[in-house]
Amino acid sequence: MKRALWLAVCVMFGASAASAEGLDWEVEESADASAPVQATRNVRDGVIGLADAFFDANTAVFGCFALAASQLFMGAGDVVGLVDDNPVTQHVTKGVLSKNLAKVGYLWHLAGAESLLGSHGLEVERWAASDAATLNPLLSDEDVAELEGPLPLDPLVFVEDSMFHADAYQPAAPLVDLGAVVLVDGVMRPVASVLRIAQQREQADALDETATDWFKRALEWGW
Amino acid sequence: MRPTLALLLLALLAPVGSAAQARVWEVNGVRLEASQVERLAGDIARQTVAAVERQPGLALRPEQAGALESVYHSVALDTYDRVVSVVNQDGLDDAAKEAEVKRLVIAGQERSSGRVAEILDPAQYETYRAWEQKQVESFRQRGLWSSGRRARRGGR
Repeated sequence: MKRALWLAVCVMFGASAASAEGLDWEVEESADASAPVQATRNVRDGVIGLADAFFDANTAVFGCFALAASQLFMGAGDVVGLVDDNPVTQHVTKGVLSKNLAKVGYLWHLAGAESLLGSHGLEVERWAASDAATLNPLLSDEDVAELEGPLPLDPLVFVEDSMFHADAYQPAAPLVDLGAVVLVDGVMRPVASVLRIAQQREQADALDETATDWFKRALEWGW
Repeated sequence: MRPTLALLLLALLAPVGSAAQARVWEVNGVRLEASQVERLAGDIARQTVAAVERQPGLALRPEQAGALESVYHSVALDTYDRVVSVVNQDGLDDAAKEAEVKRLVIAGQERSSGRVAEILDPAQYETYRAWEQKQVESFRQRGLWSSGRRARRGGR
């Protein structure tokens, strides 16, 4: 048993001849490795994929609750604003409480949006989309904004000078996002990982890709 | 012992995925995996078609829109591949990189334009070409990273 395990470890780490570049933690692996090495890598990637889906789900669930909390704070801010920021009281109280509730609402929103995007690598794609679109002469600023996606919202959505901040509310979004987390991280990605362990790499890649596409669409829904 | 041996045997006999090198982009420590690269190129291609469709006098038929998307997709992948390799060159300063990136982008635009001419009707292409040249000229004039679009958008 020990020898078999040692053999597996050798195949995984030794035969791949991975070369880390400086302190970069991304490791280059040769694409033309032998069949046993690739098969062992598939098993490794499948196991890591299961763990990854679990941890990503944790981060994303936090994001769902943060988005919900953001809307509750914004709601409280708008209600309190009726008292401390109406045309009469604004000269006295200056909306001090409602504005602070709105700021807290924005912070929750930012945390939620970044958690949801970051949990599935979409934050990096957002940055890359912005830079790549800048290099496309046919795209306007509006097109670039469209590519970046709606989240996170602009801070002004929360603190602009109006009684009701309609654009900050999307009550169903956290529920849709939560549903997406359950489906994507609870079902699709684990199935993809199992397929990977069973050496069905292409099907696993396709399922992973579909899962991320669906998650991205769920995040953009409604905003 | 038996399950371990069976696992190793399975690993030896099971079909192995394609050995082709996946397209991965890494710039300034930010790495995009193959599926992310593919999604990004697809999104940009779709958005470019949407930008074309907004132009007056360019009512695209569905098959034309699909063909344009395919052209933009392949040109984007090819152009960004080259751009990434330029940006990652150690021997070039920022100004030289910017000039080279602009040259690559404009060359890519010209390549795509040649293929777009085969897809659009002559009247459509005339309108497209006029708009494209205006856009390319504007692109030529502006800075990419220092005073470009991002700066105009308030650093978002």
